[in-house]
Amino acid sequence: MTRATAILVCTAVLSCGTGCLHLDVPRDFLVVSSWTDAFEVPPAAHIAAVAADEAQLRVSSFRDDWDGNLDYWYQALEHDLVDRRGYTLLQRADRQDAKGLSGREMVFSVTHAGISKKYLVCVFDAGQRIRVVELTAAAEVFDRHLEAVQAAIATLR
Amino acid sequence: MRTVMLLLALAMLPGCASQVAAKRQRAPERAARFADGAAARPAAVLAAESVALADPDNEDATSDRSVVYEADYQILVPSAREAGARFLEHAKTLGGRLSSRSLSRVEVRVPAARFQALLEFLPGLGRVVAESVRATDVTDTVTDLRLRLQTARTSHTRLLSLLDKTSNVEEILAVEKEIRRLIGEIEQLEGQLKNLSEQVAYSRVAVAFRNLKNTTSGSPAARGPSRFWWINRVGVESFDD
Repeated sequence: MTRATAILVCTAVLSCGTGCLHLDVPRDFLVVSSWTDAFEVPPAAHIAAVAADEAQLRVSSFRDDWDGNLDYWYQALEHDLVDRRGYTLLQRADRQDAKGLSGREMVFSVTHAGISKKYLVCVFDAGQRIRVVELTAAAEVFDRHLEAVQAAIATLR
Repeated sequence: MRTVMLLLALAMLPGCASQVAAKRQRAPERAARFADGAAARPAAVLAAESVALADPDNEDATSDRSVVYEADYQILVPSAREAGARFLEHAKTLGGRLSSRSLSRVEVRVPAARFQALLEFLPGLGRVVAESVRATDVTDTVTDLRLRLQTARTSHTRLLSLLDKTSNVEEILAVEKEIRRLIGEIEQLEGQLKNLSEQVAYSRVAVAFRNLKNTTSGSPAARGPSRFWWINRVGVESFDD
């Protein structure tokens, strides 16, 4: 093993401690994709799950290239979804992850591909990373998943 | 002198015409024949003349205003063919009928009282990107047509009476000519009134369906992406990727 390879492996292993994602996915969902890119610094991560009624749950971890704080990202996200994409904000709430980190949740309605949908997004500022939990489903089935997903957000770590 | 006066009087009448009997028929027979022709108006025309339509919203059910309602919509849908079929099916359940149809456009006519109900159905088909609803009050036009029709019929009746009383061949020919012209005018007015009353009774709704290809209104692709790349990776649209 070359010295460079060893450094890369060590970096990946060490950094996974801050990059890996975990969420207790609600029972109605099956995880269809889960990965961690330990070679991105800091590591990127992703969990995708789907319910039988095609509700989709996703957890993502993005690199914060701009060092924004929670208030900033929350407002930027709301601005983009409402003012640029035409979403309608239905409700908002404060959340906490498993480690007590503060997050902001918003629920929107939007018509996409001719289908009336609802969309939940909860954003956390985890230092160098932005963590985002999303739920989208047809409007008529969204509410049946909402409570379980909100409970799952509290298990994010 | 009598003939000249008669012709002058005829010239002042709002004329029209139909078919004339043999030149040498006896006057009573001719009168009866013309009277029969005028009485053979289609039932639909007679009904049209007395049509009084309510506002589609039923805000004033007693209103006797005649209003033509029309709507043109553009809707983004996943499948134009499927949406067009659903639209047509719903219009039929409301008592409507197809006017024209192409691959991406469907035009129907529905009873005026169901016009609003059909419009309320449209947003369920997809995203409405353009809509135009017009209400044209044609009461004055209908009233004018009815008055002209009434006048023409009155003149027609007078001419028939005149035909009964005259025995002069020249006068008979002149009166019959005017009757022909008068009946033609009556038929034309009846046609206009029928057409207008059908427009009032059945509102026109035309919908152009456009297939959308997984686009959401105002999506980053349409309105420019966010300057923050991670924001472009979230949202309902990103689940399609």
